[in-house]
Amino acid sequence: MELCAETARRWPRGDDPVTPPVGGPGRCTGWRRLGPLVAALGGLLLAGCQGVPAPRADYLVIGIETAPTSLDPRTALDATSAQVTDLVFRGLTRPGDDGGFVPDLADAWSHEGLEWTFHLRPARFHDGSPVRAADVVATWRSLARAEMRGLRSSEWEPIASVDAPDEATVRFVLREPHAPFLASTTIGIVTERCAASGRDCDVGNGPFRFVARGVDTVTLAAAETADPRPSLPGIVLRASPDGASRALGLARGSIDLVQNAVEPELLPWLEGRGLSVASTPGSNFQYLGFNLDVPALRDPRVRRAIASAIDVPAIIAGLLAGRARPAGELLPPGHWAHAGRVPPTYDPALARSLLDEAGVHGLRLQYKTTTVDLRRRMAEAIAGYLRAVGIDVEIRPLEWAALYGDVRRGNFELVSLAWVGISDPDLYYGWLHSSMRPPRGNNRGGYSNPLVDHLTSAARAEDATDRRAALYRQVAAETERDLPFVPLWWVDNTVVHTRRLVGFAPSPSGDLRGLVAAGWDGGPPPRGGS
Amino acid sequence: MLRLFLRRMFLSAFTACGVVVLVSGLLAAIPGDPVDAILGERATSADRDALRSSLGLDQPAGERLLHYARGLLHGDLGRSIVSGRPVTELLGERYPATADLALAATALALVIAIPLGLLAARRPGGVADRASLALATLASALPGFALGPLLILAFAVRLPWFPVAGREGGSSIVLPAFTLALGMAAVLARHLRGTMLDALALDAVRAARARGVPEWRILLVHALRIAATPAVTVLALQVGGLLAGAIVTETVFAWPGLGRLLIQSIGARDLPVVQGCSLAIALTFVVANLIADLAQALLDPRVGRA
Repeated sequence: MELCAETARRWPRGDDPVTPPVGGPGRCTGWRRLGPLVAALGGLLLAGCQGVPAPRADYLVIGIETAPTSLDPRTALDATSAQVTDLVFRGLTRPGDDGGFVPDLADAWSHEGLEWTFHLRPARFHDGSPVRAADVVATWRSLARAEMRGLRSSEWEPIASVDAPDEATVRFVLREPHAPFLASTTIGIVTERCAASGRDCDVGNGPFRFVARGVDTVTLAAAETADPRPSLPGIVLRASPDGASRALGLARGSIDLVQNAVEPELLPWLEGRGLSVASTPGSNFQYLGFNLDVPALRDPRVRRAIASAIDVPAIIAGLLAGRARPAGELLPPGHWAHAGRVPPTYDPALARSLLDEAGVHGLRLQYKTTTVDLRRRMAEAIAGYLRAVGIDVEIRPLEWAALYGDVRRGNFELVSLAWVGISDPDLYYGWLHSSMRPPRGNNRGGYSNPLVDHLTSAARAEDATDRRAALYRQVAAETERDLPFVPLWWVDNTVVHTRRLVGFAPSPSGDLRGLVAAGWDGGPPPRGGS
Repeated sequence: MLRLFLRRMFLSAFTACGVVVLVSGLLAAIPGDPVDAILGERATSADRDALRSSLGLDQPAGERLLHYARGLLHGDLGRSIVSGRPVTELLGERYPATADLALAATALALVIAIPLGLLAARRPGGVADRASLALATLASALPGFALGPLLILAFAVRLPWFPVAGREGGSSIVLPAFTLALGMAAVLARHLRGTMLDALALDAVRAARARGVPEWRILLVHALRIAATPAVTVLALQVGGLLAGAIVTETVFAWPGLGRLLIQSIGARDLPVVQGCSLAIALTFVVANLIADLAQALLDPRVGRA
């Protein structure tokens, strides 16, 4: 109350014309009485103003869109979480550039009938303990447990048993032939002790070890146990949800690298500011989906007309700064099951005559897409092409969860969607098999073709890669003929980074494993005080 | 004053109930499923069912709401559906960042608005008056998502004085706080101008002038004190707008606050986190108004006695 004493003295006269004082001497009145309140609020502000300390200047700062939700490879399902856990954990195998799988913790594997045997190579966890077959077995068994909340039940489902005949051998026995099994062997391996504890595990065996996690940042350091050791001392992944501020962070030098998260129209500006902008062919597949329950879309001629009406190369040049390849099928060139189907040709005259032939006039369609700016502009471009051939399109942008809810309920006519991180072509089964309509699978358009059903089922049970590839090529040929969707393009992986970073080779799937070979040329960039 | 406090406590309990029911109802009404947000597109229906039952999402909505309300009585806000972490822990991480931003923006808004409002009232139609009108127009025409990147471009990239984004070091608060403060200052300055003009027209002020009280003293002490009382109410009401504006500002500046957590959790249909954030924001609003009432009572003794 010290602050108030003076006030009491300063308002002594009962005849003050403005605000008569109330109460006896010593009671606080007026401005000064606000003092403690202001001081308390100010103190709170100062206490919080410190923020968090900046990370080490020689760590590579990567700008990402959202913070990872999990750092445990068994529950890391979203793209960012998977990017982080790929750097910290190794699985028995990892995805190769051709969509197949290459040795990682396992240096070789073999299978006979339902039995798959993996031989481990020497490796160590970040706590120094060796990676043993028992760790692999414990990790896999934990996938079926309650703490995993059913997140990985589809990976565990086809497995009858897993055991370790010796320290360096793991044996899986499947319930039935299931070729996509190899795709799930990329799951990161955790220690036996942690897997048994039921807690989240962050002690890995990959090139980087986990150091700290903030609200928006994850810090990783080069692991001492890694062989070979990464030449970057560490990595900070920093979530920055706004595309413009990620680009500005790159320009300022507070972010060193952004992969696939800068708007295409900002790339020339960033290049002009001395950043390296490089695109490599990617595998993320963009398509226009049809709801085949809509009467007009049931006619293949109408679908063919829509496919012929869209000038895909022009959209790629205009909206994506040329950073995509027109697609004729799901799997990109270079994938082991790529079928070499050609993209639909732009031919508006053909589109009009097909619509005439089908007797469709004055067709109105609703096109659902996300509220993401680029997606909306893409929808406008496609709608423009369709209007030019006489199809009226109403665009409905929806926030992702709402769009996805609608798509799963079959509440759409046209929808633009993408498949991200494709590796195993078994994706076709859940997407095009007639038994896979939601909620069971992802056949949202209601496509039904007995030959495709047979081919996708047979390919799941086929062990030989060349025979599987032949089956999937037939699937691609069928979809080219039927057009249950219009293939649009495979988006390039576009990486923007400081020129001081050298040796980073992006992967087609967009993971960050290529950072193991990257390093600073002449030291890290100056941080400019941020 | 105690009665005022108790009444507000009762009001905040009422607000909390309303927020919980409203948020659950709204989230149930919009399409989208948290299970899809977690599992992604390629999951099978078996995966979805297993996760749905392990999260208790297969129970009826009414039952889940009751369960939530029971937890709330024990201070348990539940766990995030997406990350599995306790909601109180998530709020504890994020709330300080938003509180900092809101307080800094308020302080900055006052620093801008008070002199501007006073000068504008001193000479209506004068330079300061026009300037405050121009500021108000500019601020309402420049929303946070436009002003933010412009400020970054000017004061973080061209002139590297402040960090682009994030919450690292003390200077990182300046640009987001200014982005929020500008709109608030504009409204506040215009409001203060109006109440100051009313106060300056009072007989009491005229009498003070007649008694020879210096002009600066009339302006700063006598009239401002009268004019401040309604302005404090406006300020408290603006805290609501501030928290709403923080959602945009936090996204632009990657500020790790409550607004961004709210947006993320709405996107993922993470009901417990959405409820936790809404509760925190609603209660902050109630507390800000309580502080405003206390401040008013301190400024104008008639309020406290009423």
